[in-house]
Amino acid sequence: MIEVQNLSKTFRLTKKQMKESGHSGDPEVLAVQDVSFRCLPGRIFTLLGPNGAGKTTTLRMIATILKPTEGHITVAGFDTVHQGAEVRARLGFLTGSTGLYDKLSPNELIDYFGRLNNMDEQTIARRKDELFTLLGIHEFANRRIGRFSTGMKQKVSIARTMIHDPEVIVFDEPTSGLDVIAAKGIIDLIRNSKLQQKTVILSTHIMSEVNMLSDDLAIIHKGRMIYNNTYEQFQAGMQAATLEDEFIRLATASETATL
Amino acid sequence: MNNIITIFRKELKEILRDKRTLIIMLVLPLVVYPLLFTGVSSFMQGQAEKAGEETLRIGLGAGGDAALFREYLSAWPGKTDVRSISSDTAEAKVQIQADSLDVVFFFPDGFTASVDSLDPVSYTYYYTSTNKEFQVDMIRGISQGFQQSLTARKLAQLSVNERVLEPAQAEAHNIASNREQFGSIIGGIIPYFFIIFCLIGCMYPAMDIAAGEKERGTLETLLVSPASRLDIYLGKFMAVGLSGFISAMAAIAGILISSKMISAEAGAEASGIMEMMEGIIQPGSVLLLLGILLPLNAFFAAITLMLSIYARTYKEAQGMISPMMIVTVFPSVAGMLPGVTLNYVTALVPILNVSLGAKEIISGTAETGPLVVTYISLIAFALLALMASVRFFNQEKNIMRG
Repeated sequence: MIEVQNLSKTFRLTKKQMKESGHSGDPEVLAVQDVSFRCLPGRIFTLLGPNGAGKTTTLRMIATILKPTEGHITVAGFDTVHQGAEVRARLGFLTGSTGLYDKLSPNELIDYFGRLNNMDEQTIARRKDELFTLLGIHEFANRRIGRFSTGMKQKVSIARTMIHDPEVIVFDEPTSGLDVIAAKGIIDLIRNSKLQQKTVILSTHIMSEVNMLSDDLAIIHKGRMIYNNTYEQFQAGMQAATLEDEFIRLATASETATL
Repeated sequence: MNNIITIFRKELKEILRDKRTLIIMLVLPLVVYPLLFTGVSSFMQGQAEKAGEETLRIGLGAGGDAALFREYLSAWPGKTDVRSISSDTAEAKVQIQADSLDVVFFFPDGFTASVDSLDPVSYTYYYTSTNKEFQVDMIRGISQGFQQSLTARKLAQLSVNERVLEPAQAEAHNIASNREQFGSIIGGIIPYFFIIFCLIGCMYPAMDIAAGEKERGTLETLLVSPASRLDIYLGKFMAVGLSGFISAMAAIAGILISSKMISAEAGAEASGIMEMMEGIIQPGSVLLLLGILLPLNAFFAAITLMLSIYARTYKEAQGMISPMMIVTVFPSVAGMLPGVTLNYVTALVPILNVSLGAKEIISGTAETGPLVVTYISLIAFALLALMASVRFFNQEKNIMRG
């Protein structure tokens, strides 16, 4: 379970950043503005929005990497600011840009994260064996990751995310840059996590993924939440013909509303 | 604590698997430098030996009275090839320029008579100072020796004992021990190598461990693990610090190996160096040296890590950390200059105090007061750097800068 209440995040731009982005006036930028939502176990919560909408910032605050400027988040009942270690122990985090240590083998890498999650060696070994069998990592488990293909790396990334059997999993644009087969691996992982009654939050701007996976949907645009309901309700209330068109309609409507 | 060790061990594993870092950290100081040093020293020795065998080609201008000089040369111990050339000085210059002669002497007519009657008289010689150094020395030696032979000849004619020129001989005793003498020279070189290699040893892993992780997207995965930011920082700090320490120790071992190799060749002359080395490798002075070097080590690790955390990419980190090398070289070289000593002021200048303190410990001349100030200031600098670095690591604007 993830509960996000009145979450806001302000970034302070440096002079250089302001110059580069052509941003004038106030150096404070509101990346996320008064966002609230709830993700439930056994359901996939999709955060949809264009690039720069504030999806990654929100997910990073859930993962305790960033601290909220205002508002609160609890993950599995723990506060992200004051009980960060407790939150992280129950959290899996996978993004399209997370990398792996090239100089380690999958075996060493998974051991490393297992230990960081305070698992004992026996549990690590058992869990690793399960995941490696499931993902087909055994045949290259002792080779250096540096020379792996994208697909092989993706499998190791999944094992890394799942080694401590997290109850909440954060996927931030997890399929970006992946080919169809590797992306399918991620989709399967998300579905399986749901079946295992885990809480899943997924951010994406790929409409087909939204359609395929969502149980609950939130649309975020320019830092504000412009829609939040079940995906069924969303589909029932659609005024435009396609998901894309409906998304654009909502985004435009929200802009007119704020003006 | 477990997390710190887990992170430390993993970072160390990666450092040890990075060939480039290993070459710079270990192969360079342990293999390349000793070879370079001994190569240079055996080359210099070879040159000196060659000097003894070399034949000096001497031209004598025609027409003058060179009888005394010829007589002197015949008794001169070195090898010479004396040739008569024309009395034209221009011709002499051409021959020297063309390297067919090393030196040309011109004596006036009646030179012997003038010397004997104490009339003012002079002789001239042409040479080029761009010649090999030992040739220039030989030429000057010949002229000086010749002058002395003239003095002796005159004294003999006057029936004056030659000892009138030097009625008493001075016997000077330098009571500085070999350790002190060599310590002031080599004592400056050892801390220099330690400082530079300690920095290099910290630099490369630091760039990889922070900016490199950011660039490859692995830092995020580490930040979402239950390990606290402080655990992550300390694990990385220890790995960077140890790498700097190993690299510095390798540099010192490299110097020891070099000096052993050189002294094996040079024999007695280098025994002072060995005596000094043995003097340093006493538990007491090793402890004193480590007391200076470890805070410096921590200082370097903290600063390099701090800059690397700020950088977005490995390349950017390189750009920010490399200038540290230049900033570091100056004070460490200043410590090698003669006359710069450890006092209450220099003891407060970072790096310079390391260089001077280590030099004085090595030559056994360190004074307690300034040394204590050095320790205190070094530990203070190291702690400040560490605190600033930890603070830096905890700020999301630095760690997520990208």
